[in-house]
Amino acid sequence: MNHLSMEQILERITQSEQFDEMRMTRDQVHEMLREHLLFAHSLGLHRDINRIHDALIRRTAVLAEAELERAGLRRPSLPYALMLFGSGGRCEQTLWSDQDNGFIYEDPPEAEREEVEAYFARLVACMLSGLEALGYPPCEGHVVANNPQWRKPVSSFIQMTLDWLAEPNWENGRYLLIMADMRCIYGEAELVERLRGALLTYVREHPPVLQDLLSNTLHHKISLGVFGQLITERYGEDAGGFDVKYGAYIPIVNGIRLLAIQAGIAAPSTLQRLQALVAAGVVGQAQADTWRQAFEIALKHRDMTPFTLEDGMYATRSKLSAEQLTKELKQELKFCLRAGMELQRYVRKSVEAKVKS
Amino acid sequence: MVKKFLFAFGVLALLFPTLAFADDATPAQLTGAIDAVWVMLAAILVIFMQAGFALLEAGSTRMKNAGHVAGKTILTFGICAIAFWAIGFGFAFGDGNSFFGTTGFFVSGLEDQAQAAFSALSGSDVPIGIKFLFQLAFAGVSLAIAWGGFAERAKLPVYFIFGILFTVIIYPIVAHWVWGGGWLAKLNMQDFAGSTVVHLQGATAALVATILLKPRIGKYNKDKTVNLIPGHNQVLSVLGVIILWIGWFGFNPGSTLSAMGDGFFGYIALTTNMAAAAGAVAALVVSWMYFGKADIPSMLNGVLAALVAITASCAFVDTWAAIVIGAIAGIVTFFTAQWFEKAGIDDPVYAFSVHGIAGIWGTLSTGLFATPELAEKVGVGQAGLFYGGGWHQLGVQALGVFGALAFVLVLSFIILGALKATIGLRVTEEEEIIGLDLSEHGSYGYPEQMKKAGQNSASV
Repeated sequence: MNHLSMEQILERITQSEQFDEMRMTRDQVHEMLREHLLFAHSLGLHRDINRIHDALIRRTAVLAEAELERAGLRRPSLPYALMLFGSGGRCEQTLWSDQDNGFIYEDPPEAEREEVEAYFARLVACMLSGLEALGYPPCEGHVVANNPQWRKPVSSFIQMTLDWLAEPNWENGRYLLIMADMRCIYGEAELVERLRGALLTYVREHPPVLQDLLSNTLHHKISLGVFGQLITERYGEDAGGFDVKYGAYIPIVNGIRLLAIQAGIAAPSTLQRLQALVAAGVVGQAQADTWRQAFEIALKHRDMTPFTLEDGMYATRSKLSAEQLTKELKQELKFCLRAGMELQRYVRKSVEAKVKS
Repeated sequence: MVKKFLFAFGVLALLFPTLAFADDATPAQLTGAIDAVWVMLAAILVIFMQAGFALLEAGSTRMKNAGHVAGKTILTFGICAIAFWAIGFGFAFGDGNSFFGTTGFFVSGLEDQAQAAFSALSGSDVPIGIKFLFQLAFAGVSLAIAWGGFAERAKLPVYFIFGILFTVIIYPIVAHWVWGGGWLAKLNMQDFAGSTVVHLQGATAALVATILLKPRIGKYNKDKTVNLIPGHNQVLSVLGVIILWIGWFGFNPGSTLSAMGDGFFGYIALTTNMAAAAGAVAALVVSWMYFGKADIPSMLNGVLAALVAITASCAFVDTWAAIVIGAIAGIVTFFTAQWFEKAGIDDPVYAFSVHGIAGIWGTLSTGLFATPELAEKVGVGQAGLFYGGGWHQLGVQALGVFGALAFVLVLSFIILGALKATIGLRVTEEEEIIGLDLSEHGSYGYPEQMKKAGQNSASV
């Protein structure tokens, strides 16, 4: 097992016929990847992890469709898409990410509306129970497709987005930023892009909304003290450890995301966004390189945080333990955090300049 | 109605001049009366500090222990008053040798006993009853500090036994050394209102208690990492600290034992207040810089640490020095509080950092900052290191700190160690989990809330 190639793993996943069969594959792959992570982290490995997650989720969707078919339910002849938000949307999942997802479908004719809704509700329920069987815990904030708020026909989805944009308070701002990371994982990608298009077009035509998204974007402070020291956890099992997710990774992701929204960039992943920002001439190459390095450091250490298996679900508290914080690692993190702070300042200035213009 | 008022005014106008002129008080009597009123006021302020400790300690601990924590403050002040009246006051201020007094037990409150037994207090013209109350208030504060180390897990009988023994054979001995004509008084140790005598003593007993009692259940994980056990009401803690701050205007300025001396007590009130202010600001800012969050409990500790530190030096140092002393106290104890906690010492209200470390710093600070003019005015010791006095005063201060620390450490270990070996210091695990309100007193301080908590989960 240790020597399975990526192609072999993906093939095993795409040929699975049962959820528990995939779960076994996932557990085995985890063992293998954790050993890899012990030796060295690389972007390549990170990409592999995300390809595996994508394959698992896609196959889950296929099996769910098949299950409904076996149950004799008629599939509507409408395009639809399962989309991922959060780290899944950004292709930045760790080995233990939870599920944040949504489900979008073409507007049904009025006469079939109820029937279509009922079918998709069952399909989504089947997909999500499959994902749980695979060990993906549902998102604590209920950003999951079995929540009707995140399972809609495309026109309703767009209308909801426009409503949020018209009243961008804290809660709605949070939803909008979640939505900005969406990515089609299975089904008709064009539906997702139509939704994204509506979001980006509105922002382009109404730049002041960026100001409202800014406070949400900068909400998580970089965990670097005024003495240039890492701010570590004071209490609890992680005492002395470092919250790499909220103290380093999320602030950088948030900063780059808002720059991308401001520039009308559609790519959901942070690295793609950075590339696009450089290509669009919004950010200089040197600047982008610093941020990319900082982001890769945060990504690497996020992949290294200890994880737990709780009730069969993969989970992590996203904190590097006190023992993991060696001198070299602290130096590396400090570089990352200083760059993150610079990014936050840059985003604030950039948004404020845009809003004024 | 108007007629009644006029009548009353008339009567008063006739009565009071008559009374005032009838006695023809001498200047000495008037001085004595003013001094007596001032020291009585100071005694009231210092006794009122018990309210501050009750609120601070109760607010900083959990709801299930709130009634016990607050209630035992009154119990132990009562125990302290009786024990200090019978024996402690005589050991502290009675005439005797360099180590303890041997006269003046069972204070009668009459001047014949005072003249025969308390020559160390003869410099003040205040009646002995007020002197006793004032000194009792200090002993009570010292004992209240010690209880910080016992919080949330000690058995009630321990409060009786240790309360009596601390008041009788620990506190008065060191008080005698410094204030009762003992060996540190002869060396001219500067401890104006008791950074060492009151605070370091109480804190050292607290440290011994918290070490012998071991950490509260749930404070530390198996891998030695620390958990936060937050106090149940920060507002109570804040009110407690405000009361203590105000009480300190009796503690330090009252230690002049006189309102004369060109209002010197006002100068002491000024240095005291400035130190407290500096401690509050410094501790809050340093916590903000260090944690990334401005921590309210750290600020409260900073205020108290600054007040503790300025207690020894309040009469000996310039106002700017008081600000420096207070700020340093606030900053240093912020860090020592973290260190002790990480080192596995669960001191629930940080008594040793706030009163012990700051007490040591305050006692040493006068060896650094005492000015020649103020040392001469008070009539104790000489200028500190920064004012051309050389190392002498600092050495005396350090010796005093060491002597008091060692004495209290040893005696507390003996007394509490013996209690631990015989009746035990700590409640059972089950009692600790349901809370001392229920286990020691039979009813919760917050009955409604605790009933709800009990219904929701088995563990509190």
